[in-house]
Amino acid sequence: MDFVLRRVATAAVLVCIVASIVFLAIHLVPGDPAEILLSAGGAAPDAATVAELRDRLGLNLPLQTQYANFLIGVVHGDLGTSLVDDYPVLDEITLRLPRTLELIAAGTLLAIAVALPAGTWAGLHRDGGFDRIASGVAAFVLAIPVFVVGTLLVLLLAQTLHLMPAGGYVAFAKAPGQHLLLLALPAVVIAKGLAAVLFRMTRSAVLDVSQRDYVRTARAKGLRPFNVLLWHVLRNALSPVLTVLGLHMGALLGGTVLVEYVFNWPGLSTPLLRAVESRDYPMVVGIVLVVSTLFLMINLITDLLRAALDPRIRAA
Amino acid sequence: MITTRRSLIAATTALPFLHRPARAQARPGYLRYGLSAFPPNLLPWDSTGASAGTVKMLIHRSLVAWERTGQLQGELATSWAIDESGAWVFKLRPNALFHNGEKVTSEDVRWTIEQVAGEKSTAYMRAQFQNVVRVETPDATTVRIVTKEKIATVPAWFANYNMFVCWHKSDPKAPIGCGPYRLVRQERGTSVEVAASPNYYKPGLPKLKSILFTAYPDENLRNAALRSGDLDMIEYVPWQSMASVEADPRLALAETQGAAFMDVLFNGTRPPFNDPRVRRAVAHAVQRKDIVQAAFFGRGRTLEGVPIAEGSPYYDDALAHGWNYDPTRSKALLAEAGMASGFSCKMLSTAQFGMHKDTAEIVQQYLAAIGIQAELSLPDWSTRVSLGTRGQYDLAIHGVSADSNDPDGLAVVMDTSLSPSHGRSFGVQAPRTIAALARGRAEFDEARRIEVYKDMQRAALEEVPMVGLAWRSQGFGMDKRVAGFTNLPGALSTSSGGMLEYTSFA
Amino acid sequence: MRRLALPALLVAAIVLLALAAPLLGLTDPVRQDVARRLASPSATNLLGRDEFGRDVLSRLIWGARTSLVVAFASATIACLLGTLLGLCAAWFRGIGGILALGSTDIILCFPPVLLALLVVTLLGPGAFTLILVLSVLFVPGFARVTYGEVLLVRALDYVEAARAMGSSTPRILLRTVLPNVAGPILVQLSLAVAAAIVLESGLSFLGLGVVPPSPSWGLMIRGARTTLEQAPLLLVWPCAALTLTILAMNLLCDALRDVADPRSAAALFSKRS
Repeated sequence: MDFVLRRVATAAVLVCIVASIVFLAIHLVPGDPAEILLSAGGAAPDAATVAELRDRLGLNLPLQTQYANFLIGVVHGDLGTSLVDDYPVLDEITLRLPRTLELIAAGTLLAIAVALPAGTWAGLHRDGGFDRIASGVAAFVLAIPVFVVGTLLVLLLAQTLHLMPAGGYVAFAKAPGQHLLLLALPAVVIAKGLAAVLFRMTRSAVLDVSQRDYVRTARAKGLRPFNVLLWHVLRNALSPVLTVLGLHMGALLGGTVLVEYVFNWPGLSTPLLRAVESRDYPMVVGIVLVVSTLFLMINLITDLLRAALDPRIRAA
Repeated sequence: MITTRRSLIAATTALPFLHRPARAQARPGYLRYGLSAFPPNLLPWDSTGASAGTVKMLIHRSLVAWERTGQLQGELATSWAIDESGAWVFKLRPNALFHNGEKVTSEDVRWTIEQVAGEKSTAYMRAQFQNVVRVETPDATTVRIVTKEKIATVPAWFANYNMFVCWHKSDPKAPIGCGPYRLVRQERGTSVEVAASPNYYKPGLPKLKSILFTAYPDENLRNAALRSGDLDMIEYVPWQSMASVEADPRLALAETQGAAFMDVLFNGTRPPFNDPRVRRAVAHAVQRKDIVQAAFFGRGRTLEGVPIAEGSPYYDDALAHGWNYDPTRSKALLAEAGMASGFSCKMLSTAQFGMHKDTAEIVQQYLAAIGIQAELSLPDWSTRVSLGTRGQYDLAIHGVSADSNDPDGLAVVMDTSLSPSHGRSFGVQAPRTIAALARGRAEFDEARRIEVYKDMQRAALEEVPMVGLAWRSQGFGMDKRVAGFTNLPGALSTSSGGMLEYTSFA
Repeated sequence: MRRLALPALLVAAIVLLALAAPLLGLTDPVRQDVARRLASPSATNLLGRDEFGRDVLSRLIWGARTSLVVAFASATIACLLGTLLGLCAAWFRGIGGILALGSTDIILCFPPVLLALLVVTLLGPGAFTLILVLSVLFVPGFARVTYGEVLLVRALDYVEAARAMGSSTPRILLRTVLPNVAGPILVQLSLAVAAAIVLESGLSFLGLGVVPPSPSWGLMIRGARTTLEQAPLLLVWPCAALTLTILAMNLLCDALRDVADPRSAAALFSKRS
């Protein structure tokens, strides 16, 4: 319990540091939100108009005042409103975060379902036919960029065969079938990279573990191969796999940008990207605050899981 | 054997459910439209881009609007004329209602102008309306606009999609309009839905019951969504896909040539581009047809002069090729300016938009051929805007659409005496061009205007406040059953969204 | 050692080809010829020409230089830094260890694309910025993996034995601990190189990568995606180059892992004998 409390406290400090860094960095980056907003589509705004908008948006206040206002807001659970349309940052996050999480969850489940068995099999039967083919496929899948796979899938399944919609989003409550259909392609593309990484990690962990003494002892004791696999090999191999999985899931939180873009999935990465592009300061800082909190939570959970699997970590 | 056949039959019967009947999805009177960008906001006077303009033109109306051939037609105004004292008088139609049922009166027009020209205004047309001395409302249907001097282009100001008349008692943060459609719902960043307004003043219009605008920022996906039947209509068909949209028997392409153009901007506050001869050397150095091919897949035209389109009364064939491709002349001009051995400089553009990047790459290669080593700087669009406005570049590649097809619409690009902007050259001295633009604005006689603008072109060819490179097409792709839509000519193409009130399914 | 030969040869061949680019008598990879854009493969242009009429083969080989330099440099920097951090954090623990690992946690909290966006907008796009961003992004991964492995290893008998024998700390770390944790780190390295090559293409797609006209695989893919309908082959070449490189890297790291890991090497020999 003490362990968990300590981790939560560390996480809170980290989130504060991250939010402050982002706040400073995004203000340092060149580009004026007022000017950008009024320059949409290449329009040339009048300097006086830009100055007026800056004033209205409170961008002429000293940076420390803006920072203080931001901190006061956060303490009160208020992340401010967008500079572009005055929309509450928190509303945007609550609307879109579940969609990104859904995408990540679907992708991760898919990746685990494919990569764990494949990686275990390849690791146990090293240099066999399956190992070679699967390793080749993993490299291939890892190598083709997300935006290429996405484009090709859309081109083939939507534009040519008319089997799938060309991206977009429908709420599950509105049309469950259509919702799942729309989820399928982006989830597959998310899963592709993750599965390749998980496959390699599992394969190498299984290879590693299966040569250790305790496994050999277990085998020598005449335990059934399946039991050896389950209780000795996988249990111990899972630890590094979990670390990597946790890291990658965390990275996906703000890293689904390209997938969301290519499939028009209205998750949280798109507003983050657009907010950085339009220098929508409150939106950027708010989203990063939430994403990093979640990231640390995922990390905490993987650590707890690893501890549950491996008594040595608990002791340490 | 039997099982195989049975499963085969099962599979084929299941197929129709898998195979989405794309066309049947369309509901009658309901158009699904793919936007290239989600409107940042829908404020009636702030400029937030052409996609926002498309939606705004449906929710709001102004005194006048552009009609199919590119001429002004009355909307809230039935007639307009300049009186003997030089003030513009608009007569309003008596039957127009706002979405809340209130009548549109001269008072609303006056309030609108006050909001736009006001001290705290962030309106796009703010600078123009600073010329308005006062707005008189002799009766409910008459508006008299008094300007500092006589201005020929006042009616056109009201056709801009950032200049709409709103109810004078509305909250300035959410002004109430009187357009053919009203806003039903929107999901930030994703979609906007509008439905026909019951109290629109034109009988029988709008034709469609509702329009769902969905943002598809990825041009490939926007095109795929049209091709697969997910959308009935899209804006900005990517140039590389125009041919296949035309070839698709189910689809139609409405293309306007010369909707916008690419140009080179200069920093005129420091050497080497403070010398007009060096700027002219750049103008003669670039083989334009390469840009049309590589950046626009042939969907454009070369532009070797001031961007006035062929077919415009202000067009002059000789002047239009005043900056023809002539590298020998470029080198001579450089030598004349004392730069025969060439020089290095920084060329600003953005990697965020493919056409800007592609154009910059080609210009870079041709500049190298005359000895100008231009190092490319391709930051994101926001940084590009910021650097441009502050003049932190030597030369820049830009792409823009004029405000209208009238040469006065070029003032935003060519009048370098206006406040510094990323869309204009920085501090370039072009006094004769600017003076000619001002004369054209005050001139009412058509024949004399033509002469004035020819003078302007002659001056610009020498003073080089910018260099034209290429016209680019703009295309709307749509299902063949979508009828009644017109892609407006020239620079007005971005204002075509207003045509959606006449659009229906055949 | 035989296992190492083939993958090492493959990687060496790719690297050599990239290094030898200036000697191969290739056409200038930047030279445009728009009149012949998207030309199909021919005797003079073996892989055809791209959207600006530039020679694709030449761009592919010159692009390998950029892409590989970025990938190897960033992965190596990240590997050295991250392993050091993880090793120290796990070995010494205490406040210093927590701080070291905590600082990498800060990096992890940033969504990668946001980090790239911020750094690139601050410093301007280019190969150097790319290396900086990617190595910063990869440090936590190495630190984490090393940390986790060292925690497991430090309590093992042979480490205790080394300590009891009075070996100096650096000696224990380098000679005893590092070889025992090298396996996962090397796998991480191959993943990092692969990820760097892929990320380079993703960032180039967003316009945050290498500055044109200098060729890179990412830029080539971005360009080819636009001309997909006109010239689909243009997409195949850089993707094939990416796949081949990543496959070779994976094989090499697998083999390295076997050589570096005393346990599996022993197992290998025992099997043979």
